[in-house]
Amino acid sequence: MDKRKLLLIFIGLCGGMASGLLGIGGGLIFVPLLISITKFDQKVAHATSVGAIVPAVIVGAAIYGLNKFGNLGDSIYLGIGGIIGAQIGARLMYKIPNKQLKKGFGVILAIVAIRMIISWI
Amino acid sequence: MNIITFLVIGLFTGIVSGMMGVGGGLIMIPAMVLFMSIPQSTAQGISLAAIVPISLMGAWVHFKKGGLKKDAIWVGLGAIIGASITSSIIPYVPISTLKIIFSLVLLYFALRMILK
Repeated sequence: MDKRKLLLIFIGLCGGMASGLLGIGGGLIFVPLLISITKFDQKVAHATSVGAIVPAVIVGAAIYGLNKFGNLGDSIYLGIGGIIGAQIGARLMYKIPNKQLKKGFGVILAIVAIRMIISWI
Repeated sequence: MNIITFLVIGLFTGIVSGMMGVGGGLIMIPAMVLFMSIPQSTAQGISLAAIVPISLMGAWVHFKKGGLKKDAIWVGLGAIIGASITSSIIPYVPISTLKIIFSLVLLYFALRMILK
């Protein structure tokens, strides 16, 4: 097996571990690693990331489900809302100036994160 | 009532992640934990299963447009191994620990969005 394939598997391993630990897709890890380590361009990195997220979340959801962490009915409604929302969001992306919005949303996410940390303490 | 709440959270998550390119999990998990008082580990499991259809749709679009190459197989293989390991340890990790790890990761990405 060549070095490139091993690197791809390694990137998959990192993103997959983040996915299972945090309950997320793992794109936040896949995309930057594919760009910095294997020098993929943004588009190919994104496509590869989405392709790798599919098996990661199927395995993760199955194991969480076996351990009774989850609720398939709830996930279906979230998924339906998510698919519709993603279509709207992708179209809005081209219409609304993004930079300030992104910063503003970052502030909201930071507040949410701090709120979660406080509720833990 | 719950159905509507989940649909709305999903819709909001989809719009925001479509617009910002942020992963949906980072949005829907805090929404479930903070607004619906769902335990962190359950919220994470619900999130993972919800991402299945969303990512399948995305992968299909990329596949048709030719962006999805064979390399994804190797990344996916690593991802299966990685996700199996961490998903399996979740029952042994205290919910408070999970919550703090998640919050710190969320804070990191929030700060990156602000500073970029």
